[in-house]
Amino acid sequence: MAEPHDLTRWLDALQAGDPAALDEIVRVLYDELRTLARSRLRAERAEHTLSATALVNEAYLKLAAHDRIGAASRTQFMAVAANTMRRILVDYARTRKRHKRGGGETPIPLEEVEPFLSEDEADEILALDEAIARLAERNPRAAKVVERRFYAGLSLEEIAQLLDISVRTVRRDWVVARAWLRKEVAGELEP
Amino acid sequence: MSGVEEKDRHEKGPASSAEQILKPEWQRLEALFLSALDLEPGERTALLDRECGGDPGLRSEIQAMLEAHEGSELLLEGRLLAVEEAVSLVGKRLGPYRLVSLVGRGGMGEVYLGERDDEMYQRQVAVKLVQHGPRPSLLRRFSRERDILARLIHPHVATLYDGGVTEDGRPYLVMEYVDGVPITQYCDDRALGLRARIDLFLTVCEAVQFAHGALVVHRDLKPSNILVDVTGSVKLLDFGIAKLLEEEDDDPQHTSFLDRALTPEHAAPEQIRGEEPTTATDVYGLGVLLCELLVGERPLRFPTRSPAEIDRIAREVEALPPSRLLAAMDASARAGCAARRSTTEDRLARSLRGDLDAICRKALRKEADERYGSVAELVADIQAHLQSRPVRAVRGSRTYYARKLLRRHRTAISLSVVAFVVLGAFLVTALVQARRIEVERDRAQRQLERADLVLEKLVGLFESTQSPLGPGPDLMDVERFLRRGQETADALGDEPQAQARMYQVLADIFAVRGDLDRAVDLTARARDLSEDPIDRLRRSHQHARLRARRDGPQVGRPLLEASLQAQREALGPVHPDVVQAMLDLSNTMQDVEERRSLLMEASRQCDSMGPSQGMLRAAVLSARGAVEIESSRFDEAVALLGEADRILAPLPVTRSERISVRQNLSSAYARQGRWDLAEPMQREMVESRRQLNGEDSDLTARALESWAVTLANQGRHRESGEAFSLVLAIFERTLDPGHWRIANTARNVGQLLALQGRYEEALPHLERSLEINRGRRDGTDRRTYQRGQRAMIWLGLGQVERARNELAEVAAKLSDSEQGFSPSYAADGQIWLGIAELRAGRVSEARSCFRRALEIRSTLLQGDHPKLAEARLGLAVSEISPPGMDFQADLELYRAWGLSHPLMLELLHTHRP
Repeated sequence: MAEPHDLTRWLDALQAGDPAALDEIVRVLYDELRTLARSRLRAERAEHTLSATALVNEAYLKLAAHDRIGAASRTQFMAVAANTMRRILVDYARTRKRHKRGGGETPIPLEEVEPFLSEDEADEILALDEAIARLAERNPRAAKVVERRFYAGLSLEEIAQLLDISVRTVRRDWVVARAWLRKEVAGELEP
Repeated sequence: MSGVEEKDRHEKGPASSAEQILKPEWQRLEALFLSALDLEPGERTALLDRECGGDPGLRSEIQAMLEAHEGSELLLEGRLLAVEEAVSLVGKRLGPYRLVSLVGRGGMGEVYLGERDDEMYQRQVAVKLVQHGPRPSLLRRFSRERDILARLIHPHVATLYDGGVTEDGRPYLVMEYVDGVPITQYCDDRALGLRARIDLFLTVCEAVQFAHGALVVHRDLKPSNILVDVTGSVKLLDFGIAKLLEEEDDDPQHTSFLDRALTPEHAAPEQIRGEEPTTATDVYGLGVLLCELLVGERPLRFPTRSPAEIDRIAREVEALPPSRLLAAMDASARAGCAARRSTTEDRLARSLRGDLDAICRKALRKEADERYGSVAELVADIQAHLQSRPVRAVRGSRTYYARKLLRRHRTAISLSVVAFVVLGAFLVTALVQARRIEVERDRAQRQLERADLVLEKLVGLFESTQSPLGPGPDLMDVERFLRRGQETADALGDEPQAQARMYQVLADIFAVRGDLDRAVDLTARARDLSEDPIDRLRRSHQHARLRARRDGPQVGRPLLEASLQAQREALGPVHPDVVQAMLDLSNTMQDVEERRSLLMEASRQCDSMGPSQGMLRAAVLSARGAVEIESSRFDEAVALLGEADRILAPLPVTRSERISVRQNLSSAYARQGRWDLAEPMQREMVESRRQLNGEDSDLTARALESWAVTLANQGRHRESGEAFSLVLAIFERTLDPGHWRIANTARNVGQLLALQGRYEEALPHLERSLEINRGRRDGTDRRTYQRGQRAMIWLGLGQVERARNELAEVAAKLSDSEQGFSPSYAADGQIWLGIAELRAGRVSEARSCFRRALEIRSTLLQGDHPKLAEARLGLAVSEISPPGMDFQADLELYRAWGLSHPLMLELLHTHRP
């Protein structure tokens, strides 16, 4: 668990370009998000809309509990969290697929298979992950936009702030990227 | 990992993010897409026609993107990833609260995580917002909830802080944000035992009772609405559909089941029917919750969501009480359940039976008035159970009360004391009765445990991973499972019996997997922990058996003998364990006669035990059958194995016991020459092995081999050749290139080609086989036989002298008793030489060969075996028919045989008797 004051320090360091800071944040975030996700996932499926956004926000709140972090740092934090969230989901999806391959029935329920992901969702997560990577090769900025929006739920304004561009540009990127990714994923998963 | 952008350190890099250098194709794509978006469909087509004239790929891509933009959301977008509407409210303020994120979507609207944002204090809240454009009924419901919550101020009910209306007229509630997990998960995460869970449950009851006192019925009691926070405090949430009892229901739709999006598993039957709920409805909900806490399962299952089905199940199907739910689980689920309650399976089952079962039953009655009248009554009964006082729900019985009495005064009660305390001789009898029943039940229980569904399922699971090449569950998972299993077992220090049993099961699994060291170690541990002498004996025997397996018969035999002795003494001669011990001992015996007599005795004991020990009898019969095969007494073997097969007939064909019996039986048939009986069985064997052990398993290869040989004997040379080729392929994949089995199989493939007269094709295979065997130390024996087969090919190719000389040598070697060849080979050698001599025109030499062959084969084979016919025919062709021979019959028999040599057939063709 994060020390109360470290977070601000890391975020500052991150802003200053310190490579270690990123690693630190990701590490802590990863654990935190995972824990949160697990507790969420066990909840009744029909009731709780599990949202990556919600998780990331909650993680932020937890970690920032005793600290006063300005709005700017918060969005920065979220940007990092977005990527982490993406990784976690890919992890889960892979685990899910691995267990499905074992003949359909999971004979050993001791492992924490996250049943909240349906097989289709797992496929989509992986396909989406790869598609975003491909998008990044074509339009790196748009890929960033889409990652922060999908996985951390940042608003267009917040993203504009982060990337130091206009809201209109962000919206453009978002619309293009979303359409392209949807198309790619659908194409990927076509039987 | 994909997607990691390590270079993404500064988000605020000015020039780099604002202006990007993008590939022209992409720029074009983007520009075109965005332009097309703004246009009407007709104009779009025109645009695309203009711009994508020469590039159909680009056009289809844009078209796909346009479609994607319009519709085709990803699955994920609804649930995991950010959704448009949600984002729009996040970041907004409502009064002093800022909406940080969307936490959930309920039936009525959204729930956000909010943060109080002033300098005064920090607080997290849950802000519940009605959905966009609420229907009047929703609004009514919403304000109802507000009223309800305003009444309910209780430490275990989520507190209402505030409420209001947003700028666009959406009402909202601000409530205590409970940072917790559902109660079931809370208990599982901490592996809380039954007592602790029941205590938590009582807290929940308290809250519900309180609500009832305020005339509020919750109606939606389920784990996701009952959270426990880090301090262990229970909070009841979501009175969203709760009802005020006193009010008139002015909204008829309100009671419809579908409207309320209930989960039927938690809904009381009257709710499903759409009737007025009462406090008894909540009692039902509590009953369901109790089941979930006790065994992790709901008492009633609804596999489909069709209203008709739901209705039917709610009306007709009986809810199962916890002990029955537990029993209905498969073994691993049950183990997990017990583990999550920090107890053992049998302890758990025992705790559930009786009071807790009865309490749940009473709470889950279909008719509301047959349940507990109030939550208070439910609580009272639970407390009675905890204090070992009689529970109302249990129908009173003398033994029941008496047992309660016993339990309450557990310390140092002897029967005489009880007799003194209890009034009347009658009651004493009842107590004695009760004890006896308990003892019986425990024994039966133990037997069940031993026989073990757990073991069977697990062992069955691991059997398919016996060969490291076979398929089956991911080896990583298996390893982890076993490791966890061992850790769990090691941690059970204060429950030696449970620990011993766990070690036992693990040992059995390791044994099946071939990890004999661990198996031996664990059985030793299990044995040492055993208190019950029978258990100890059994585990001791198991240990001895594993030692025999791991260290060989030298080590194993004395251990098994000792074990058998001990078991005989303790259990008497007629006992299944003793018979099993005899079986195991027989496996270590080298001498066939010794084995036979031991197994005969085992058989006798089995017979006197009666029909109940089917599996054991089959095992003994199978072992005896194997002995007879070894002694070449095939008729006896067939009889014994046939009997064993009949006993095992009800089992599925893929059971390994069944497979080994059928394998032996089919070889016995084959040795008897009854190919038509052997072949279908062996074909089935191949399939079973494939399924059970995998394509590349050694066992599959062997099954294929036996089948191939039989096919060859039936004259189905092509099929046989194909089967052998499959075997060869398996060996080539799985063994070293110089392995003798590859040599053997290559030889077989060659041999089959030779039998079809395809000598040229056959030769290279034989050469290959010989080549491999040349390099082997133990290859000389095999080489001799294969040289013979090769020589026959030379003969077929017309190289008579060469073949004859070679065969003379080969036959001599094969007949040399010093060399230790099986007499059957010697006979084969003589036949070959005989044929060669005939081809060389040396009739009298041929005659002595065939005579010798006939002599040998007569001792090995009986009746109408084609090989006997072969020898006789050979003699006949060498101008001396053996007495009593029926030439025509033999000829037909021989011709019909699959392994009849084409060269011999040629000779016969030209011969006139």
